[in-house]
Amino acid sequence: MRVFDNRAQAHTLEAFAAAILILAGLTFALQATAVTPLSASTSNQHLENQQRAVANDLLETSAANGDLQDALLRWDPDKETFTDSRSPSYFTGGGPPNSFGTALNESFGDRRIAFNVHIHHGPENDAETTLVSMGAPSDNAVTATRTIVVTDDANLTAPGYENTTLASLSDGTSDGEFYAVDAATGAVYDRLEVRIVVWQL
Amino acid sequence: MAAISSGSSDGDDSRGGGPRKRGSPSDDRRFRDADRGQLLLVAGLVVAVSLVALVVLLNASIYSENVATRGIEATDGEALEVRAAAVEGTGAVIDGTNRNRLADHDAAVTAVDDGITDLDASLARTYADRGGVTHVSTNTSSMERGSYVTGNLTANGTGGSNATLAADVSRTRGFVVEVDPDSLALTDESGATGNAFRVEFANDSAETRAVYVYEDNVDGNITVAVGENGGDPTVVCSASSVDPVAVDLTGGALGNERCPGLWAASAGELSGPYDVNIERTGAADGDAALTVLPDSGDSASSDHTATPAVYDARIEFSYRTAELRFETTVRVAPGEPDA
Repeated sequence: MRVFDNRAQAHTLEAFAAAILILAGLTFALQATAVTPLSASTSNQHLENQQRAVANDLLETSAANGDLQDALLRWDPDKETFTDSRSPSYFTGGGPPNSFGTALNESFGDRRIAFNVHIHHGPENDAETTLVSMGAPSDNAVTATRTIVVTDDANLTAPGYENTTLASLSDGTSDGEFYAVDAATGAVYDRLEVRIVVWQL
Repeated sequence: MAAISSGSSDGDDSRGGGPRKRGSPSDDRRFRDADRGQLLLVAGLVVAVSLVALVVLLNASIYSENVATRGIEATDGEALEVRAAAVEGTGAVIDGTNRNRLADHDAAVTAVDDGITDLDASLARTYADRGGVTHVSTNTSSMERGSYVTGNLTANGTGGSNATLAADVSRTRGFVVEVDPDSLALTDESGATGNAFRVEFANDSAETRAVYVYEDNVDGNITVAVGENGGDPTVVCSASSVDPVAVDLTGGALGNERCPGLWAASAGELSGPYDVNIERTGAADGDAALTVLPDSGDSASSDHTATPAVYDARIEFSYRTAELRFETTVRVAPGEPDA
């Protein structure tokens, strides 16, 4: 009879051992999966920081040499599109056909990194126009922003509209419409906040 | 276990010993010994597995600690980014106002002041949703008054082929000459003094620096060269011909090419106030634009169109977040060379 007491203790310990084994097995299985750019890991955090830095620097250099402003003003006021006459009015397969677009494609597109470019504008900075949309960003997407000031006498850069100023569009002297309204006082037309969202495909 | 075995052996001893009674306690004892071994084995296993689990647990907590304390460096530059936005916004307001050619300096100063108030509201709105508070302010008395000069590359009725863009200036910014490459003289370094269009800077002590723009007669490139006191010039940079090509004298650029040291080697070497002249205008078609700060008074005299302008402005900028307080005063003069 008393022998059974011994056995019970052993059984209890064995049960614990089994439970711990199962848990350890599960933990091991979860930890042992391959680390991809999308899995939560140290390297993932690193990639996000890296992509944010690249996106910020790209915006900074493009703004400094004027490419960014040229890209924002490459708007067809008659057809109200960035893409000349094609539909939709924004780019989906890569950057726009100018220096800013080339920089985007070389920094991200060629490295299998997707990007969206949105422009925020308006008196409350709540209106949004899309310049590039490559789909819905993943959970690990990062964002970089840069504000570009455009003045009333800025010319559009779209082919055929190089002599059209923003002021002439807003006061009706020229036909068509710019995507942003004249939201600022004096010589400034509006402050366009460019937002790049970048994520690994 | 000790109590159990002693109890059993007590029972065995009291009964003295018959073969039948002996057999069963000895079986019991063997059985208990086997139990003990199994127990030790299982306990060892439990300890070993627990240790492994502990290691995994510890590793996970170190990892999350690591991740939780990371990422501060990504927002390090935010104050500088906001500062850059404020400076750039102010620059755009000043230059845009100058290009609007307001009637007098007071109107220009008021327009810039209004523009900066508007910029303040806009920046505050933009950065509020990131948890930062910005403030940009200026004082109208801190703005220096100057002239915005524009004109074609012509003598503009002065009678010769030379014209003064701005006389007696102490500072120049945003000086860009845009030329039609086809109109430029075809010459070389030694022939430039006698044939090429030039922008001349001359100070009161008769020192001059001239920036020559011509088409090189060997490779056909648009070439920019700098000469000292009328001597043979030295080539600073050249670029293949595009139409039209902009020579940014203050920014140091020729078209899309960098042209480093252009300002430092020319007007930057002169001491005291200087005149900005364009000479041999027959050898170039195009136009020029610059903003100047006169040595005295508010306006610089010019043979071309000089309108009242704001030369620079000082802004007080502050940016605050939960972790950061950043305040600075910045003098904004877009396109002013460092020299």
